[in-house]
Amino acid sequence: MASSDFVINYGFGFYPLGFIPAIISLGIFTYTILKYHLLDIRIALTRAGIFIIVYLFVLGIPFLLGYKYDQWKLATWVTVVLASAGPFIYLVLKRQTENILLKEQRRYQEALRRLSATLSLVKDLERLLKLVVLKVSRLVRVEFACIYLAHDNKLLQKHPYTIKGLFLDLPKEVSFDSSIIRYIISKRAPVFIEELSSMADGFNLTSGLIIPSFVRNRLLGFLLLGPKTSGALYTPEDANLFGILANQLALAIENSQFLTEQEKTQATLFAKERMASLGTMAGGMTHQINNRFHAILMASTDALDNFNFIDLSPLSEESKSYIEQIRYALNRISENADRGGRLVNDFLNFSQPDRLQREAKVFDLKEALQRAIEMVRIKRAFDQEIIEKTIPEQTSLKISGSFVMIQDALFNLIDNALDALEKKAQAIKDKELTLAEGDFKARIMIKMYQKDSLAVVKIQDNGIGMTKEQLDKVFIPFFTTKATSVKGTGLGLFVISKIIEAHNGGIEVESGYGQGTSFTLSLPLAKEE
Amino acid sequence: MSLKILIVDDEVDVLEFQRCYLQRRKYQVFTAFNTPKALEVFNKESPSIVFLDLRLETDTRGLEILEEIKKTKPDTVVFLLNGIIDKEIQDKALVLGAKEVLHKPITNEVLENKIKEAFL
Repeated sequence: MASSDFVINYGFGFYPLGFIPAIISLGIFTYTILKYHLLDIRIALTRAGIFIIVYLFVLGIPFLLGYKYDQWKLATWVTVVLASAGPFIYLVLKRQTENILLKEQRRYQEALRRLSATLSLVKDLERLLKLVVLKVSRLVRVEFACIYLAHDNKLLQKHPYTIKGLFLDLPKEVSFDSSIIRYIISKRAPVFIEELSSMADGFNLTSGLIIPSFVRNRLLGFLLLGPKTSGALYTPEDANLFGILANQLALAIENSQFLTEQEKTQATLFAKERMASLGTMAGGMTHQINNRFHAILMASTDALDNFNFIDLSPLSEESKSYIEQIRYALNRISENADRGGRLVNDFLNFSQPDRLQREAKVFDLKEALQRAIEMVRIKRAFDQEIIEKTIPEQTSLKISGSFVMIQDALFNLIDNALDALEKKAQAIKDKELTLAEGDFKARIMIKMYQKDSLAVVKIQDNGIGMTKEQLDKVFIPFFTTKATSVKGTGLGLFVISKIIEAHNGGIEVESGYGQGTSFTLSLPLAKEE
Repeated sequence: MSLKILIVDDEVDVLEFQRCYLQRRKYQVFTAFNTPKALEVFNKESPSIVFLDLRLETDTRGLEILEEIKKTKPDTVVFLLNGIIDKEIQDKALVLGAKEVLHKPITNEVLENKIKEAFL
């Protein structure tokens, strides 16, 4: 005020306008004090009141003695005594009244200090955050509170708390780019909601406090407290105190995030190790089992071969039929040993978790598909016209993974489709399906295309198809629609689905009995280097 | 002159039945059930074809035999037999000069077809 008055003191008379700056500046001071809580107004008024009352007595009593009773000598002594005692009386009275006034605040300040100390004991992040929101909102008695926790490039709302019947109207997430967050980061201290009122993306609140937690220069998150239920405003003491809590909270959050991360790593390591040892065991086991099957197959095929050299003609019809029975049995042994070996290899294919890693490279899915089709052509005798390909000529669909595994998966799907066609032809012949033989035109349609960031292969046949029940079980290991004595181990589709899963892809199947089946594989395209 | 074939396997059953099968087809068959014996027979008889089990006495010494054979007589046709599909070993074997890696179990017919393919 003096600063706005000095011009007059220097003799530049502006009267009656000279007092206007003084009034304006007084107004500004009052506004800022109230608005930004620069002083707790209750405390300031109380202190002023006590001061006035104490000095009314200190100065009033001597003057009363002097003027009214004309005892000036006594008045002087009384003045000396009272003036000496005055400050002490003032201090005692001040402390007493402030204790009463600030009792509430002191209570929660103490509780917050205790809460800060216990934070580091809570290891689970979610529990920690919930604990903080609940404790603080109950202690401070706020209308609502919540935590915003940093996640990637935004802060997500967590554990909202409100007093009964209040709807919390706050954004679920706040971007790190928003002006509020930039302001909080630049201030690095608790922020009164009023400070943010000018910002476009500010919270729509009348009063409140934002208590940010930093670790080094990184904002981990903040606690948002709504207005106090008492209607009292947040004071700078509150802000200071919450600053301490915020630091403790930051450490506790970092601690628990680290622990959670570590536990996760340990769990994956453990699972990997277990899978690896299962893989090694399966490898050794497979080798042993295949050696047994191999010995059986060697023996049975050799035994069978003998019949090619035996002259059966001198034998009686009865003896010939016995020989035929032996030959049949040996054939069955051979086939079973052969299938046993395939089963074991199928099993090994998915119990080797590191196989994909070892074989992983970026390759053209188109090439794998063409090779798979070629393999089917070599392995099976069928009318080449059956397969109808729709493969884009130019574009390559590069995916990342094991060429051999994907090629095997595609080969098996096409192989299955051929089986389904044969089965349908058989069913028509056996009159199981009411369809004239000439009306069935076997078809396998293989389509390949790109859909967003996925390479898609669709293999569709118009073969025998599956019933609803069969369809539900199609990816279950050892489930098969093929009579086991004919073909198939029941591991095929299960292994295929595992292979696709391991490549972060998906497999979908549609089927209707007598209509046909279609498999749709989608695999994520490899990211361009 | 009939083709000389060496079969190396630590399974006596395998040696026996494969030998019988091939002998009936007028091949000259030799067998060996361990590494030293295999090399001894190989050096003595110089077979044109070798069927070699990869895992003898639980290690992978089959690759050692392969290496030795290819050093001594590079034009020998060597088929490696493995109980499991192991791409790493398969690649190694092909680099060392194996004609093909076959996976057990396998039938006598298939094995004979391999011989015919190699010498047609």
